[in-house]
Amino acid sequence: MVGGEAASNLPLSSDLDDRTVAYVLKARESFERLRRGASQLAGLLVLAAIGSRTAQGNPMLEMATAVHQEAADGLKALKPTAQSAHHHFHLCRAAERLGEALTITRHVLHLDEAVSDRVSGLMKEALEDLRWAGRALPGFELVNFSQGCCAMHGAPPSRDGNKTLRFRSTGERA
Amino acid sequence: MTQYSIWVLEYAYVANYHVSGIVYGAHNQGFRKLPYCYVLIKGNGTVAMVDVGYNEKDVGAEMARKFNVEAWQSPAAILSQCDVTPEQVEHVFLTHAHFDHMGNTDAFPNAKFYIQEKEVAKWVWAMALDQRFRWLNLATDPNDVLRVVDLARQGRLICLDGDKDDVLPGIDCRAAFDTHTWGSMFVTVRNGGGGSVADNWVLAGDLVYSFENLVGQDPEAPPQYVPVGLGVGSQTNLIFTTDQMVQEGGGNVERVIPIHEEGLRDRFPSRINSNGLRVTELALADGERSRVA
Repeated sequence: MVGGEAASNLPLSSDLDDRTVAYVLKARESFERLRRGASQLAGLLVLAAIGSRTAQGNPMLEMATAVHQEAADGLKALKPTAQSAHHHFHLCRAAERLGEALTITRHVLHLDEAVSDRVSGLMKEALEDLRWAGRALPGFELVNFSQGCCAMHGAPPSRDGNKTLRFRSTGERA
Repeated sequence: MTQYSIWVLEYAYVANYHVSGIVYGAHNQGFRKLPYCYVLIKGNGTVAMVDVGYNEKDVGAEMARKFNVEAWQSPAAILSQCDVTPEQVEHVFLTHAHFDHMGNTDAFPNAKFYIQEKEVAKWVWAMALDQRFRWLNLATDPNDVLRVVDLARQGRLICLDGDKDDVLPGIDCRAAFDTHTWGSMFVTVRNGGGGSVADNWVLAGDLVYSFENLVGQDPEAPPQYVPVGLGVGSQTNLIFTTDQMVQEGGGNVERVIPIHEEGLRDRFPSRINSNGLRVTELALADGERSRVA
């Protein structure tokens, strides 16, 4: 699940065929893991940037590496459809870039300026891919607003009316 | 002598926000408008802000679609109402690390950003927890984390360790640990310059959302403090912080400014712009002209 929302409350709006819906439900795990891994590595960069001595050897690096591996394994098992191909492309590229950022970080002794530059650049690219993935299909959110304090939860349908999950079987015409 | 001009600037709003999110325990009391604002402080030869709003490019579409946030305007457009550009802003006090308060640091290329070190450290700590604890990371944008990295590496992030007087002349940062967030803070502007607390303004961030958090919901009953609808820390800490803010405002609850309070427009001189967004003028420095007249 992403953002703590039950699948039945997915804000899916488009007409998606069954196989794409199945893809969405499985891909959300990988998306969430990539989001978590990226956040954890970004957190590590924060510690390094503010001069914390706990940056190097911080267990967050191993956690991010593990969660990235889980995401990568999940991605391999996905079966993208024509409707989800664009989403899948960005998810895979995000995983690739995050993986590269993690590899660099794990193989240096110190997060010096040059290394941080490289890692930070890859992270930004990975997050941009996650954002594009989030735009390609409904149900993928980079920021968890589900119980945020200043957002309107359970909002009435917005102006485009996109609030409810609509499934369409593969045989049904749009 | 008034040292600083202070404006509360609305940059977006939610038309219908549930009251229980504003006042702890106020269930089944319907909905009201929730403005999103930041504060502009100008005087003593500098320009400062309290919080910077969020970045429309990153989260705006999602906010609009999912939460009906409306009418977002850029800092350039909003600040121009006070004849200020984002480039002129030299200091920003970040009250806490939620997206709608610190999500637009990129818009202020020449500013230094002040935040409590505990807010950053606990933010990072929460990211390392198992996903069962992900509620603690709500409203955190991973892009904000990277923006903090950039600021720190550019020498533009100043981490405060608790209270700090005179961060700028007459402007104090006050830590409010384990309240709305782990490392929240509020900002007190001692605007008289002569030591009189009657001239103080207390800019509360999200430590109070509305006047009701300061005086309670029953106008017939003796005033009481009621915490906001969300705290990752303690409600006890929130209401004692509220009392501290009132004391810093000279005991006058009207000197504690809840930026999410629509009623500011009735209490202080205000005007509504063509986009339906409000400018509220709390104080004018000597020689400064009104932007709401």
